[in-house]
This record gives sequence, structure tokens and C-alpha cells, in this order.
Amino acid sequence: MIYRISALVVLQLLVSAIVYAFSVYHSQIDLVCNTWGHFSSIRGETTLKNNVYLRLFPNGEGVIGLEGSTVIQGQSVPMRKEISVKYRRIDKDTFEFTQFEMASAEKDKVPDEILERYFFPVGSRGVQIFTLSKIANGWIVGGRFTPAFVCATH
Amino acid sequence: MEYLIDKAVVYRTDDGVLWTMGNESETVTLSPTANRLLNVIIEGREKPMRRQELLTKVWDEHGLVSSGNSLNQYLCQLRKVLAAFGLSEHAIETIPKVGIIFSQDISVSVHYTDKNNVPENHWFKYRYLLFIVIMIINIGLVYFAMTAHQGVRVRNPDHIGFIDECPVYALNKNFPMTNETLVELASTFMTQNAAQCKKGKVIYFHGDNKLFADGMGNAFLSLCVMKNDRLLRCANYLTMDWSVDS
Repeated sequence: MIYRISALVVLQLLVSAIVYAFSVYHSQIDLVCNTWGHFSSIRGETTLKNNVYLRLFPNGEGVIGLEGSTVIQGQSVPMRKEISVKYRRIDKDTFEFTQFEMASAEKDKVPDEILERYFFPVGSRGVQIFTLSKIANGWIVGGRFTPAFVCATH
Repeated sequence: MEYLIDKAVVYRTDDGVLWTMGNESETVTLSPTANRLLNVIIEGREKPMRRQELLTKVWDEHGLVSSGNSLNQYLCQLRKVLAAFGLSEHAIETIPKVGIIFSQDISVSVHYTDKNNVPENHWFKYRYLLFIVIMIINIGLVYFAMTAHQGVRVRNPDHIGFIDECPVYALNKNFPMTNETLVELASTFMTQNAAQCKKGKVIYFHGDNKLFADGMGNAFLSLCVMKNDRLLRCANYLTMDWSVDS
């Protein structure tokens, strides 16, 4: 009887650990979507006109792709950047993005700091709160107070 | 069940095995019939049992043909086995015209080594307690995991009006202004961004608190092509510190 109880306890712990790991794994998002965005900074100093690609993997890693152009003080500059991030869920629709690592294509002529100054921090020091929520078959992605884009999944 | 006979010999009724206490390596196993006979005699050791009663319980009730001769043979066999363990040859006594009885001079007590008959001790009780505590913790853990990591929030924006043929939805609620004013604001924002409404498109609009409080703040508008309640593609406009007059 004692051995049976011990076995049940061990089995219970095992099942709980599996359920917990499973639910934590599924707390992450598996998302791939794209859209087009026109983002204007304060007083219109900088405007991004980009195709936006967002991929979030269930393992807590993600990629943001930006391809288009940036208008800096009236000059249009080609832009093609890929930003790798790590993310973690804070609550139901709030996520923390960290460890931004930016990679720029050869044709990209937009300084990274432009993106950092006006839109979101990059580099390992940055931490950014994002909100993610579903709308129809798409996603609303944005900052804490304002959406940045709606993207459709297919 | 196990009996301790004469404080020295252990008799296990389940399989008819006998051994000297402390020497479990040397055992004697009784035949099933001999085992039943010894078991019945020991169980009824308080008073003599009639031969017919023994024949019924040991043979007849088990579908076997009983006879007085068989009973004598098995009694003889049992006496020899018990004697081999140092017990008196009269451990099983025959009282003429009365019956058979296990000698009252030999002590017989229940021997608690059978796992199912071990009296509850504290450790055994604590095992149950431990089991219950771990079960409660586990249920809590699973509940926490299931509730703390629920799916994403699904937005059902309010329909606040139309711009041309495009329905306009507000992404944030509790505006301090009427739907008409808000649609007007969205329309102005659209015009300034040269975004055009066409049939089949929907508009999602959002203004932050600062925009409504100061007349200048972040404005967001998404113009999406929708078919069969599915978004096909969207064009998004986000302007920081936008004002109606800008």
C-alpha cells in the first residue's frame, strides 16, 4: 500500500510537471503575419513607409521585418531591417520584448538609431512592452497605449 | 493472515507456509488440503470441532469427496510437520467421541507481518497526509498554469459609424466624445494620410487619451480589406502627437 501511494505521488508530480510545462509552452504565441504601415514620428520629422512582417515563435523568440523606405527630413531612404527579439508574456495581452538584435540589408541606408529614437529601442539594453490581441483572423500589435498595426494572418 | 504458534512458529494461511520465526529461509509448505485443515482447526481452537464439521469445511465445501480416512491421514501429516518445528505431537489433539482441537497448552496469536494487516502507524498516516498535500499543491499548480497562461485577448471593436461605404470601428472604448465626432476625427485623419475608403474595406480607429484630453496625441487608423469576415490585408497609419489642426 505504501509503495502504491508513493508511486501515485510520483506519478502525480510527473503529470503536473508535464501539464505545467505544456501550458507554459502554449502561453507563448505562434504568430506569422504581415501588413503595411505608415508611421510618422512626432512633428513628422521621420516617416516610415514599410511592409511589416512579424513572426513570433512559441519558444519565446521572434522576428520583426521592415522593408520599404524612411523619409528623414524630406529625404527618402531605402530601408530593410530585420530585428530579432525575445519575448515573454506578462498577462493576457501584454508582452515584454527584450534583447533586440538588428540586422540591416546591404541596401538599407537608415541608421539604426533613427528606429531606436522614434519607434522602439534596439540593442540588448532595450525592453519594450507590446500588446497583442486578436481581431478576426488578424492581430492588433502595438505599444502599451496605442496600436502600431493590424496584420492579417493567412 | 499469519499466526504465531507457541511464540516460535509462523504459519501463513494464504499459502500454507510455516517457518521458525527469524529463519524465513527454511520453510515448509503444506498441501492445499492440509493448509485448509490446519487453518480451520486453528481458527476454531476455542472448542473441539466435530470430525464431520472438519470434513464439511475442508473437503465438501471445496468440491472434494470427504472420508474419515483422509482426515486421519492429513491430521497425522500435520502433527508430523508441527513436530518437525519442535511442537508437541499432541499439538492437534483428538478427543474421543468429541472431536479435534488445537492444544490449549500451545499459544496461538495473530502475527502482524502481513502488509494488509499491519496496524496503522504514524508513518503510514503521514503518507496519506503527504499524498493529500501534494495532490492539493498539484491541483493548485495546474490551475495556476491553466489560468495564468490563457489564450490571447480577442477584440470586438464597437461599430461607431461609416466613412463613405466603410464601416468604422473604435479600438478603444469609453471615448469622451460622441460616435459622430469620433468618426469625423477618423475621417480627418484619413484624409491627411491620403487613405481612401473603398467598398469592402473596414476602418479601425484609435486615439490615445492625450488626443482626447489635449487635442494632440497618438492617432492610429487601419484600413483593412475584409472578405467573408476575414481580413485580407491592412494599411496602417500611426502618427505620434497628431492634432486635428496639423
